[in-house]
Amino acid sequence: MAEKASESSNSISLNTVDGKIFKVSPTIANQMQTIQSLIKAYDSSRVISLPHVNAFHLSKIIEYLEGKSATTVSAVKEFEAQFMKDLSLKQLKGLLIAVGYLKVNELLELMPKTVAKLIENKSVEFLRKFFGIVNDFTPSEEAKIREEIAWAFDGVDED
Amino acid sequence: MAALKHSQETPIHGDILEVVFSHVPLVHLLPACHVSKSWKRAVFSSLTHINPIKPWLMILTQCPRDPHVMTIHAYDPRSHVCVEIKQKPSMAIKHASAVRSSHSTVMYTLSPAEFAFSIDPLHLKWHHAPAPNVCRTDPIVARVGNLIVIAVAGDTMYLTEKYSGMTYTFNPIDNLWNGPYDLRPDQSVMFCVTGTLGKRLAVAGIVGEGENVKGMKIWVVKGELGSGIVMEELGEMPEEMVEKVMGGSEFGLGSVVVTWVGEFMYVANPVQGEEVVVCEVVNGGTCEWLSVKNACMNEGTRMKRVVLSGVDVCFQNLQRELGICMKVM
Repeated sequence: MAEKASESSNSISLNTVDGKIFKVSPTIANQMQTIQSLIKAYDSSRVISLPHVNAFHLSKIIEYLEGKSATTVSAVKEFEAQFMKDLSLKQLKGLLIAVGYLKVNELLELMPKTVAKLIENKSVEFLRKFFGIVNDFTPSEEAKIREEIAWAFDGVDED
Repeated sequence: MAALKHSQETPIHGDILEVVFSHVPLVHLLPACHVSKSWKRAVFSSLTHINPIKPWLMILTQCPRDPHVMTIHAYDPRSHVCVEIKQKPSMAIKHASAVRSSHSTVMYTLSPAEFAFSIDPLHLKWHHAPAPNVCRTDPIVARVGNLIVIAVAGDTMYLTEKYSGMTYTFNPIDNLWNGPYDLRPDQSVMFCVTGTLGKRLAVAGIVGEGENVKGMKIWVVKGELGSGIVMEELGEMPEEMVEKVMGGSEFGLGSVVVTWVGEFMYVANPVQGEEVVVCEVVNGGTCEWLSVKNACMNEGTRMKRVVLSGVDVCFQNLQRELGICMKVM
């Protein structure tokens, strides 16, 4: 009983940008470097606001941190594969940004590999559209580029 | 709500982008480089700080029958991928005689009628020269600085007799031969191939007795070549890899090909092997060994001529090659 009380008093409240409060255990919170440093700065009774993370992304991160504590190496691998598979491309991109902000080291190792696969064999236009990047090259720079990498536009995936 | 919208549109931060790019094969980084200025910066920063460009192993396969069609593949150790380099049919290279390479970055064909060589990174441009007056069946062609020598580190060509390790050097500028130098590291070495690791003269030696291959070790020569040559052992190929490239070879050690480029040494056996052993010397002293399944060598290439060479590839020379298409296999 006493143990349970101390656990709940230790739990950390996180407020996402869309106003949802998550209570997480210190073990989970400590795997997010940004939260770790915020805990030190804040009074522990206060709710920590996360201006760049929404509820969906935080719930995914917590799901991952809880899920990967599986017992065997192969079970962790299987879990990780399924976890990545369940994400849509858009979710993947958003989650990567959240993971980068919260500095979740394990996801920072896993996720870039998946995103890297998305970049392979894609045209410049696709990459801009998909990642929401504005082309800031001047037309003459752009023309030069086009000439330089003409072959790279051969045989790119249609999507 | 406005804040949420903002967070969804936040571009991926430069640091993470650099990590993402470190997992993307070099060939696929070209389009990424041209998405925006910040992506371009992230690509180059990633190539500088996280996963630098590494020299490629070029694999040319030549059909033994007329019209001797050649296909080009490359192994990129940076992301452990095999790249198929395709040319427009009009540009495809055909050679009447066999393409060769003498453990260097030059590929050539030599016959009484023609001498052609290629020194560009991807071996897409071939230069033709009159054939030399004297033609050996087993010549050595090396690039020394800007000169092509027919008989390689810095400005000197090294010529080694593989079974004895006896080595002569030739400086084409002064037209000066030197030697012989005994580069056989010790009596257990029955076959040695010289080359360079970075700027150091190195020897890969196959250790064994009689026909029985026991392993392969790498040495580097310390200091200048002279009467008292000091050699330092850098590393030894793991046993299971020795078995893969040299085990049960019915064609003898002559079929084992050693290719040196940068801090890399590649060992392959085009006659029988589908595996290439890669050795990277890290921090000037530690050998990291890796055995890769060579997607470019398979049943289909078994009857064909396979020639290997190393190439110091850079982003710029990938960009300038027009009319080719590269596909990661």
